[in-house]
Amino acid sequence: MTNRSDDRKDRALRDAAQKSLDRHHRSVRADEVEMALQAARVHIVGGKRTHRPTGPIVAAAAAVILLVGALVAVSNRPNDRAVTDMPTAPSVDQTTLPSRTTTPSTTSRATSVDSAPATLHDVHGAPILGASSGSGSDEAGSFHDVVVEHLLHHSEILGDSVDERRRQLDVGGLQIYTTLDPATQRAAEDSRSELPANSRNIEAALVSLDTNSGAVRALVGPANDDGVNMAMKPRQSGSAIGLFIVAAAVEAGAQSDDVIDARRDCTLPTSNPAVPALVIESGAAGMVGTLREVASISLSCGMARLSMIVGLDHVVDTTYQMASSDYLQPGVSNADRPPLEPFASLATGANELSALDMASGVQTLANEGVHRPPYFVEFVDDADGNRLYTHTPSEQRVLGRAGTLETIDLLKSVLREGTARRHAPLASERPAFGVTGSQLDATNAWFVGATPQLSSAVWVGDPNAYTPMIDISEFAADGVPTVQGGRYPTQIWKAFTDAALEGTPATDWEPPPAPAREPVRLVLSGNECLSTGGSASEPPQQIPLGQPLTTVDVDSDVVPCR
Amino acid sequence: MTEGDYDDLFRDAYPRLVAFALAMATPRSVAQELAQETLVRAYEHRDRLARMEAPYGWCRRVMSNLLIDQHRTRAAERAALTRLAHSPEAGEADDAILADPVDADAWRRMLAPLTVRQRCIATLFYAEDASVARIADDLGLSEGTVKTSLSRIRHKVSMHLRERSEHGEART
Repeated sequence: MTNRSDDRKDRALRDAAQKSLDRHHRSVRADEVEMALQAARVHIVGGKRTHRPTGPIVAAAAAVILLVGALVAVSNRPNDRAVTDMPTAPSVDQTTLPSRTTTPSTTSRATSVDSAPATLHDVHGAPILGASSGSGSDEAGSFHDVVVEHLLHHSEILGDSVDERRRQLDVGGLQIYTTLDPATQRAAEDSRSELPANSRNIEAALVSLDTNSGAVRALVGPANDDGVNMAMKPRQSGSAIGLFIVAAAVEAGAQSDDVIDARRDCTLPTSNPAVPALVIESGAAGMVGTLREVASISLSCGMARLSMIVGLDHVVDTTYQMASSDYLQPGVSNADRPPLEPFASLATGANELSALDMASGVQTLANEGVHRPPYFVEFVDDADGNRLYTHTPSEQRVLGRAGTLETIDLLKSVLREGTARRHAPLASERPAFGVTGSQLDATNAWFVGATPQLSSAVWVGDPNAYTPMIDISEFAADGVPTVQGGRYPTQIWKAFTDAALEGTPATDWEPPPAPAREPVRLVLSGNECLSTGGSASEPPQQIPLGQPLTTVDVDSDVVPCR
Repeated sequence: MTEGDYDDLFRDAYPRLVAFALAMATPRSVAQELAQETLVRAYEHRDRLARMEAPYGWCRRVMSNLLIDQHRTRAAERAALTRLAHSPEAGEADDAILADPVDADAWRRMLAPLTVRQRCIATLFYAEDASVARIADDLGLSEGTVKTSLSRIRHKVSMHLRERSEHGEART
């Protein structure tokens, strides 16, 4: 169905696309083509890629060789027979260049190796079925598919190239023991019923990690039109990025009783004069309050000011460290994984993070400052029961322990008296902390929270579009005109956590050490000045930039700079 | 297909395949490598290609799938590289290659918010004038999926262009 606006978009797209194609076509010089042809000829006549009429047999032979090569690579066991049996080998680049992505069930089953597709198991050793297998729940299937995608494209466990990994999965007969806990997974599946069925395709995704190890214990989420599970899909963070802002601020020396200006409206300049200031004119009115108050009700002017006082680059850096994984690394990005940027609008949620990233970030706090990257696979056995791979735990202390306990204590207030107070408190007063994530246009809503056992993130939104979750009839009928983090995401998290931890003793973190100093006021140098009495002739006094934070006495008369 | 016919196919198809990959915002070295790989495969199938009306279509299909697969692994491989080498410089150099002519190219800016499969569909549809049916066949998708993707592509691109003009590149 096209309309005039689509036609206009199509014309603009077609115009840009064809100009681009022309320009690139002209950029390929004739001598480059001749060199490429010569190089191709070397492959072709080097005896390695000569034409054979029996294509399928060659492909099968290549598959066997690749499989054997992969097994050797993984197990480090020499396989003399395979090496001597090698017929005219395919050229080296065939083993290193990926071939077309296909689902594991459709490729080269007809090799001469009597082996089977890989089987995935949960922590109890029970098999997990794929979504495409037609049996089992969709949700367990989605975990299966995420793990297969992980093993193919985000991990070297099964080999160096995608081809190798795919052969391993297709015909290696592997037994892959994952981190999935079926009871936790069931709790996650059930918790999604907190979100009313609706006609606008709004859905929920949840990831839960073992707080101490980073093992992925539960993962549910619909796949979007591109087949990407929404638990793994970066989406705008909304105010849930506050988790990382507060952690970075406390790490830099801020205390929960320090005071900050969180009044709306606010105009906050970046340190780069070329970049326009961030202007926030909507949301709660705000006040000058303590960091605990400002963070627990997620006041955008206060959180944005805090992110700039701490330094946007520093917040981005802290986020990368707290949420580091096979999926989130500084300097590694593509169209599916935009880099985190020190945008002025960072605090209001301009950056994109997945539920896995969020859970991975809150794990660092819940584990008292030590990050354990999330992982899916505990060990892998070959068809004969030989162990090919065992997960090696890795850890990094990202945040100091005392500061982390302070952040945890501060973020408990989000659940006690903040944005999540109505729906978050857990059964039996189980200790927990977290943040809500909301946006003005309500296209994504989050809750990210943890107990000492489980670190989890819940995302709610439209998997295929930025649909504002405003005035959706089924939600409005439920008393929710606008979906924010404090409602459905928080409810889902609570339902999940209560069920998953039922019968597990409620444990708490140690309380934070007493404040190291008297509270101060955190100020944004250049934007906030000290009053000089208000006479027109005498401008307010600039406050020199402090390191790592700029502060003034808590009772100072702070006014906007002119 | 005679050897001369193959050379003619190569000389015609290679620049078109490289241009197609570059239009999809692929680094040039990767575009060259995959174009060559595609044409080596074409040699293996040269008898079949000789009977085809448009052997370039076959090449573009192979190339499209190589590109999608390649792209999906690259992020993981670079992550591994960064982890192993602990060398931020390596990452930066790669970014420089990726960023290369982007700023001069409106099309690549439009592609920025798209997934690799969407980029491929968009480039086939808008740059190469391929039909929905053809794209569906090449990429192993249903026609409905391709149509839905095209509508999402229009939406994402227009949202992205609007966001860019609103936020600017708010770096500090």
